Amino acid sequence: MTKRLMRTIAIVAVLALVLVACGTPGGDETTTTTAASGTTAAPTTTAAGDTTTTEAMMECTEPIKLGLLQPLTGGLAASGGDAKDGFELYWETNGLTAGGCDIEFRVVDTAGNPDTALQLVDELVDNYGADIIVGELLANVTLALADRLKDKDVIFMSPIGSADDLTQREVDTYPNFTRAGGWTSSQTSHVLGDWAYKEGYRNVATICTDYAFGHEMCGGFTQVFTEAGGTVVPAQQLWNPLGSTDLGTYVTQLDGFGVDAVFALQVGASVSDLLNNWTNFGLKDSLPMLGGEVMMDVSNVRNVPAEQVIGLISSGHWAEGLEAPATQDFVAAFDGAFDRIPSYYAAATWTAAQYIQESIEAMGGDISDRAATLDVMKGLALDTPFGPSVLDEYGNPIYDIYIRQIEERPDGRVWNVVIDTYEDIDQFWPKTAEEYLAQPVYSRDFQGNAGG
Amino acid sequence: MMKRLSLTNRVKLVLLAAAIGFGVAAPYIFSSFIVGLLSLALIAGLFAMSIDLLAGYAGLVTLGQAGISATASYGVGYMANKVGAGIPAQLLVGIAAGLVASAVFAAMAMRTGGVAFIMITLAQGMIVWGLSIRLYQITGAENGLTGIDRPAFVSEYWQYYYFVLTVVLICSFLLFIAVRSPFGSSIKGIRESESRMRMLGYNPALQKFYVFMVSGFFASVAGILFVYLNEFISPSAAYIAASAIGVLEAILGGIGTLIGPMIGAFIIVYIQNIVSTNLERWPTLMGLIFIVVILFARQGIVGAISSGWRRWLESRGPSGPGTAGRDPSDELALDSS
Repeated sequence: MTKRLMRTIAIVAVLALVLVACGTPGGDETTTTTAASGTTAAPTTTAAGDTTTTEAMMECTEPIKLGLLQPLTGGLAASGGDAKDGFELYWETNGLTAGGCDIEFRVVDTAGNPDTALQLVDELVDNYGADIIVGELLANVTLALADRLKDKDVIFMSPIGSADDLTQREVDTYPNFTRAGGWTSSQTSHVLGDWAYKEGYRNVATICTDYAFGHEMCGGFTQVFTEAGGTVVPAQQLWNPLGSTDLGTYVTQLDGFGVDAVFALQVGASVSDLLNNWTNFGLKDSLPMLGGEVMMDVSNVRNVPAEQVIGLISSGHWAEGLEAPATQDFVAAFDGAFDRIPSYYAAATWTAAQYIQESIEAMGGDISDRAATLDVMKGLALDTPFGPSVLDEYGNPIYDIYIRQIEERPDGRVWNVVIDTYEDIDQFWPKTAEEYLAQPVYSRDFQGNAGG
Repeated sequence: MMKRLSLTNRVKLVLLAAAIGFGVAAPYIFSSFIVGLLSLALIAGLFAMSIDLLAGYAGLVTLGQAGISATASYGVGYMANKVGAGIPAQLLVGIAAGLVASAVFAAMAMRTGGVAFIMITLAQGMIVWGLSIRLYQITGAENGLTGIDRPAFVSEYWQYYYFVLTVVLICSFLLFIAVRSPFGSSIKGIRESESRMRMLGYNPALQKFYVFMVSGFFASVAGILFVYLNEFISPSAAYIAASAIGVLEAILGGIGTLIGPMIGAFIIVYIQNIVSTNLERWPTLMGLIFIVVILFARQGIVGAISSGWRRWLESRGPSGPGTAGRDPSDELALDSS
């Protein structure tokens, strides 16, 4: 009996080896094999491998496929849900066609985990056959995705994940990446640094979340503010861990510094905690708080008692109270569909969808040449919910950046209205690209502080 | 060796042969995505088996195992991304980092058991996670480490799958031997009664140290396979959730069965990656499955199947071939009881 079993196992094993010798698994997929496959010496006998997919797409027998990756469960579910809703609403409103081609898309849940995102993006690219990938919310997941997709035959768009270097020092690493509809972290806080100095603030302390996004937001503010002549004492730059929900001790420290104002950038649950402490320690009316974009985003402040946030100032490329038709049409449509004022997450994926539709239109429905499609995208000048948008040569938008103040609407809800506008701000402003790229990316150690 | 095999063992061998046959044929049947997921499930299975060695055999439930596997992953990632070293150096540093972490962890935890052991390992795992976020120069903090390329001979996804399959099979075989060796018996003895083992002349703390090191070695192997699979490593791999998922996989499949954690890993990977694309509330489904397993099959899936099988054998009576019931060679049933 044992002998017969051993024989069976041996036969299975031999059969398996024969199978291995006979051909390359997955040879019938057109999208998976990369340039490296020529050197692996695997015998490829499978026929019907390289069907002419490009010609098929030109006649639009197959729809153009998009994949959206967002965290729909876990701690970021609310923001990720906004991003999903904005994307879906765009296609519902404007129709799933462009350039005579049908468009279809799939939304997948990353749960905010880079490892999960990497597995799911393989499925979207290799199996589903996505032409364009849009994702993710977190900068670290976006970086991981950009790295995975850089050799694949897709276009990767990141309207939310805002890690600076993707369109700066590392731009050549990711040739198929574009930030259409997105932003770089420090792009909006540069402007706030300038505005704060002109407003008369001279000494500012900062409290930012201690990770790449916080470093970049804080660095953007600190560099422009100190180079304008303001002072940020390095010891008065506080860094709290990601996810802190008791910021009371930080708030008492900030109170003791005797500064003119505080620049703050928190995310998630830390936002309401900081604002709550700010009010409880009586600082709301005595020590001005200047917020980084995401912190004062409507997705955060709509969960906070209105009296804690009314009057607070921040800068951003998104201002839901902007009096422009494209913005207010979008706000009204989103509010009508989901009964809430859209956050920048929703505006971002909506705008990304707008870029996708317009560039497919401009390419006449054939986006198989990814590089040409990206070039066309860079040539578009769109009127988006963010305001007028064009892309710089690095693939990052040039926007109007708004100084925003939180105001109560007649219906009792709060939103950001525009009190000042900096027109046509690129990611390097106020420096030139050459000057800016000569310095390292912002980190805890490098805040670009002119005073030390 | 000429002894006639029991029915139970014959069934097991056939199932094993079928599983291996399926494993070998998979790249010809499925798309690259599914094959990638199978690689992931095999790696997750090895990781859960390393937890099972501690939890199921030594009775030491750990919540810090991801700290060890992630340390090994970071060892590889650091050598690849920051140093630019070749594959041998990556592997060497990876496995060394995993073993050093295991040794430090084991030395701290070896004199405890029960809840104290859970708490210490939990803290250890969180220390690795905290360090991975803080030591920017080594780990790249939240951004993680990219640019970790697979060795050239397994660069294609299906080549890597076969590589993973081979390594996991070898590791499973080693684990299988380990739990049936005198060493395996001694750690089971410690699970049952530490004082009695001390009476027999064993040093329970030392035995715990050894089993922790063995478990840590296999966790490190899993960590290294994982980092080459994703070609990426970030702090989320060391987070408590990663350790907890490993424990849940072991419990779902059946603690103390070795094969159970592998089955549990396949189920969890399936839900996380395939069900999740169609079902937005997939975590709810996962929770429900856990509740059902805990309520109706405390021994896990493998435990439930093996006790059902035993009952069926008993109902057949003693006439059947392979003498049913409490067959001494029926390790599967014994271990899960």
